[in-house]
Amino acid sequence: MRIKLNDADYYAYTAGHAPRRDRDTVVFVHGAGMEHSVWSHQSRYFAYHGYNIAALDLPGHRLSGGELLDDIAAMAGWLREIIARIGGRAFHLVGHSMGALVALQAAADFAPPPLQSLTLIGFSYPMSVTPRLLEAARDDPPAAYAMMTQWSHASKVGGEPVPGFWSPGMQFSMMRNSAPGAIFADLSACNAYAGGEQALARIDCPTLFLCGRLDRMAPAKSAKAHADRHANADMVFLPDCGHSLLSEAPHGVLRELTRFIERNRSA
Amino acid sequence: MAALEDGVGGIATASGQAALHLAVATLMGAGSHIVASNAIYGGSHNLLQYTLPRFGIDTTFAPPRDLDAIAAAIRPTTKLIFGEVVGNPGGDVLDVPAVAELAHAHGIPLLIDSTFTTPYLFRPFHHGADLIMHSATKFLCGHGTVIGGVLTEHGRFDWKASGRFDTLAAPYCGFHGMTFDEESSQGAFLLRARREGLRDFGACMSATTAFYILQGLETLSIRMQRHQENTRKVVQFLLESDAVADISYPELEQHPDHQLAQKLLPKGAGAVFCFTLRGGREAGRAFTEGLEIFSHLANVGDAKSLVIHPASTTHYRMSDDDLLAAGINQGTIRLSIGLEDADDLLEDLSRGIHQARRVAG
Repeated sequence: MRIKLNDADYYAYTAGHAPRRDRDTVVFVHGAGMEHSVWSHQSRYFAYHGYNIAALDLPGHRLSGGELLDDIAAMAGWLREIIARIGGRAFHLVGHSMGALVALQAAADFAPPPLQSLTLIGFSYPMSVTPRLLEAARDDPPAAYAMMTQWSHASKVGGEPVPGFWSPGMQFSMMRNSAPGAIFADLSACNAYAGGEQALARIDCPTLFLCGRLDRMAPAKSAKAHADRHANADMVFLPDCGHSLLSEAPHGVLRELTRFIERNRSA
Repeated sequence: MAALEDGVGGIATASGQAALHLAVATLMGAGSHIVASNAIYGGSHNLLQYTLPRFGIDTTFAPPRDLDAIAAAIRPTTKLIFGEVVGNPGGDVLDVPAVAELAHAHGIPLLIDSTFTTPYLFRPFHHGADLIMHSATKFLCGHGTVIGGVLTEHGRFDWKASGRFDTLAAPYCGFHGMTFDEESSQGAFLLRARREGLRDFGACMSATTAFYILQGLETLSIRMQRHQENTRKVVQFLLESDAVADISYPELEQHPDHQLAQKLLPKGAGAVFCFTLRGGREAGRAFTEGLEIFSHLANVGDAKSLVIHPASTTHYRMSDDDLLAAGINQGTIRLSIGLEDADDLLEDLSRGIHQARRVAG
């Protein structure tokens, strides 16, 4: 699905289904250096089980036009405008890593139609980025891709849950194929984001914090601390996986997303 | 295998030939064209030369050392360039980076058969290849016990931008209208290969076969080291024998691809090579039959050392002229060096050479 906004053309994966006004829409927002297909093990399921879906490519990423944004608030503003053009009865926002910050900020300022739920996967706040990684992202992107790929996966060899695909290879390839400057812009946005506390305080919809128990990029204890202070939060840890839990634990992520979103589906 | 090759994923197939067929069937249909090296495995040559044309897919063969010929063979309908890292029988080394650059300039992917080198000796994705196939029957399994193949994808090739691949960049009615390039931006080829090719053609690997090959992979690195060490000793031995007229091994300075092999294959040029005995066809036959440790087999990449004399076995129906055109002399012998004690192999080769000399007079 192509979406026109301010003279640019953006992409949303919909599994080939045009959005319907009588259905809830699940919107997926990817993380730094990623793109819509990082959700391929989850998004398609919802499209075939009664939901509209929109797995977005953020501006300047993969199939989306527009300029790269290096500010979470700007990405959130863009997301709200895109959602307004997608349509649907009600919305569920799902974000991973940087995408979780974007979804959080967008949810805090969400305007009708109603936001039914918010899911923050691989979330931490603050999401500070080590200077070594930021410098590599600016000066030597392949080195940054390698660091992120290694740090994002719990240490294990073999036993891939998705037949025929190797999660570290997929992640590295996604970053390698990203637009020049994308990884630095994205990581800079994560590092600079300072609106998390205020945004969390304004969220009143049901919120799921979903974390990999072995996450080294966004330690689960950060999400746990925020979830404990949130009146309407679910906190779920998935064992034996790290920050790339969308592909490290695709079935566990889908199970938790299904359970949570079904529970909060609009009437 | 995807990790060893540094790709995004892979598909295990019933054989190496099934992997090649799956790659072709995923990328193209009738009216398409392939450019292939002419120094490839005979089974691959048969598939491309004789079988696929019946289904509307033609192949132009070009010498692997002739980039101009490869470029000249490319047509608007070309959807694949295919070659082996080290070819047979001449040990031709494909200049993978140069061929990849040429392929990409035309929006065509490069598929490399890396069976002889394995990821231990050469990783084609690091040199520009887009797809890799293996006959896992050989070194990956390592013991000649099962038949299998593997196909891996790098994830860098832009199928949509190429404009040549509707199978990956347009909706596919056979799978809910899926556009594979959008569904999996990094692994579109593998996704279609699995969801169409494995489903419809059915050439999948059995679980038992997968077990044996995985077991083989656990020792791949130390086996390849030993294969390589033994091969160098055997090559040196044959080099010093006056019964040997010629050796085609890329590590030798006189080999036309020596410098390229030094650059691309610093760990070694593998354990399969050909040499030519003086004394013609009868000497070749006597040599082969005189060996006691080498197994007389058409296979390669076994833990056991293997020998074949093409002129009296696999190619015995060919005329002398046809043999020469294929780069095979009457006395050409192919060896696949195994993991035995090197001294035992040299002693066995001495035995074979002694028999060959008796026949040659």
